[in-house]
Amino acid sequence: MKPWPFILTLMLFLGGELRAELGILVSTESSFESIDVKTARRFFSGRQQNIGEERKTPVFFEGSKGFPELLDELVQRSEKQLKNTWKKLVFTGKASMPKFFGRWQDLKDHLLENPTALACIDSSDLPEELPDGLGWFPLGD
Amino acid sequence: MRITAILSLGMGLVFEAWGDLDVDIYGSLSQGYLHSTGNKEWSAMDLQTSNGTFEFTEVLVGVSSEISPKLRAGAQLISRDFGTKGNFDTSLDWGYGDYLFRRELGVRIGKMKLARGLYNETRDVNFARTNVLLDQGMYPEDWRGFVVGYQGLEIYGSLDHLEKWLGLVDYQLMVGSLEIPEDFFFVKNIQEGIDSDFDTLQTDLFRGLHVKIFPDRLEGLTLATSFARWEGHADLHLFKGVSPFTQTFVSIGGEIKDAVKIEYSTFEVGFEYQLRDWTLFGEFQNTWADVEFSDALERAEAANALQLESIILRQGLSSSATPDDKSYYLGFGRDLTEAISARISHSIEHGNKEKDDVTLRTTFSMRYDPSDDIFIKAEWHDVFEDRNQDPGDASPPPDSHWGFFVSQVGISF
Repeated sequence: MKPWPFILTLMLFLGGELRAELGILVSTESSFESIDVKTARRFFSGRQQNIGEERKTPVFFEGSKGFPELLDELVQRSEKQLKNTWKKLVFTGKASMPKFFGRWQDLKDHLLENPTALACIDSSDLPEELPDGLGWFPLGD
Repeated sequence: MRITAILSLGMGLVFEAWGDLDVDIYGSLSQGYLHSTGNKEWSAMDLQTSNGTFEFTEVLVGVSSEISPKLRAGAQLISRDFGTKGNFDTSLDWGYGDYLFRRELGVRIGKMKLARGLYNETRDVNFARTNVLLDQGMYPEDWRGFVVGYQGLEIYGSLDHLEKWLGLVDYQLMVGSLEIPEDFFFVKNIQEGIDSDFDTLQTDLFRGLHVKIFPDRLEGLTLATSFARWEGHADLHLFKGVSPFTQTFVSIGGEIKDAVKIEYSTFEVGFEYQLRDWTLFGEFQNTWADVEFSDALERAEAANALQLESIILRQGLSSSATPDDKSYYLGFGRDLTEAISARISHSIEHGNKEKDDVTLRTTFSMRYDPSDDIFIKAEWHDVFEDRNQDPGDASPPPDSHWGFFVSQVGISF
């Protein structure tokens, strides 16, 4: 028996599991336009504070199911490493500490109140219907 | 300095008063303990580490705010006790306004952290690293108050047109002056050694360039290089009559302007590679110092009236600013669990090219975080020194192999 059908099936299965459908959740009042994976990686790991010509503030939904995948696939750091990176920026005056939310309601309220805040979350962590005032943009290649 | 510190805190209150602004207030507190098998480390700081000492405390409090999407401002105060240094005096660690014109160009004005090598900017942020002390060949603790920040102007940004080849390239161009604390050890040593009034060393001009590269092709890799140069001078006031030869000094008004001039340059290059739980790192530094004594000082020495003072002055400066120092270190760290991390590094320091002094140092660090905001660290420095004494120096040679233990407990909020 040739192994290829099995391997291909496994790859598709694993690929589906590993590949998060990450996107940016943001207030519709924001001047945000969609960004690619590279820019998102730089932004959420603290290397780049601006999107376009303006500073934006990253927000993390650590209570979501997709948060571990965000750490693994996008910022490629553990939560502790990520927070330490941000603390270094905060204590040298270069950035504000990103907010980490455990509850969807808190995340939603924060984004609606802060048009400069961007959250990177998996599509599976979104409610079936997005609340008014929020938009979700999948990351480009 | 106290006024600046009060103003900085005042700025925080103003932010709050504006109401609409989102102001971050944060800080950290740490208490350390040092114990050495010899009594050499930081002897210039009068740290009696061979008996063990708790004189190693740091407190940071800061405020910052995004006033608009292009404008940030903030300030941070630091209070330290490190042997004779600091003694809990509060000073401005940094305080600046930061305007981002566009991605390639931003400007900071005020007192900024000095970007040198990979870690100088973040050396106060002890709770965000595994080790207690940065590698001492390149980041000596007794120089910290001097090289941690500067006052002036910084131009910064990302060089987009290099992105295609190199990845993200960030630059910082720094111009201003360094603040030399009154209790900086070599100024203090000279002031105590000579009975004349030696003005605190003033820096005339500091400028530096720092470049960081984050290659897209190898996620987790950071490359950094920096070059900095400063010039400084000090006046010597001679108010005392010490010998019949003092007529010489009266004729020059009892003061020697620019008695000492110093030119100091540093170059650093380094890398850090973070791959999952592992971190590899290494840095190289070369420093050049040129100390020049004025003709007036030479004449005073020739008149034999300033002999003691000038000897101390020369020795003090040349021991602190050796002509050509090189330092390298290499190491790795690992996050063993989410709460425990370890780090090992080995450094080679070539100090004072003329005497060919060499120091080898191996450092072992462990860190445990009982919670997100609390850390406990322990660290051992194993030091082997090969120092050549000056010709005619009859004092017993110093211990060549010794070590010291450092531990630290802290909290950030």
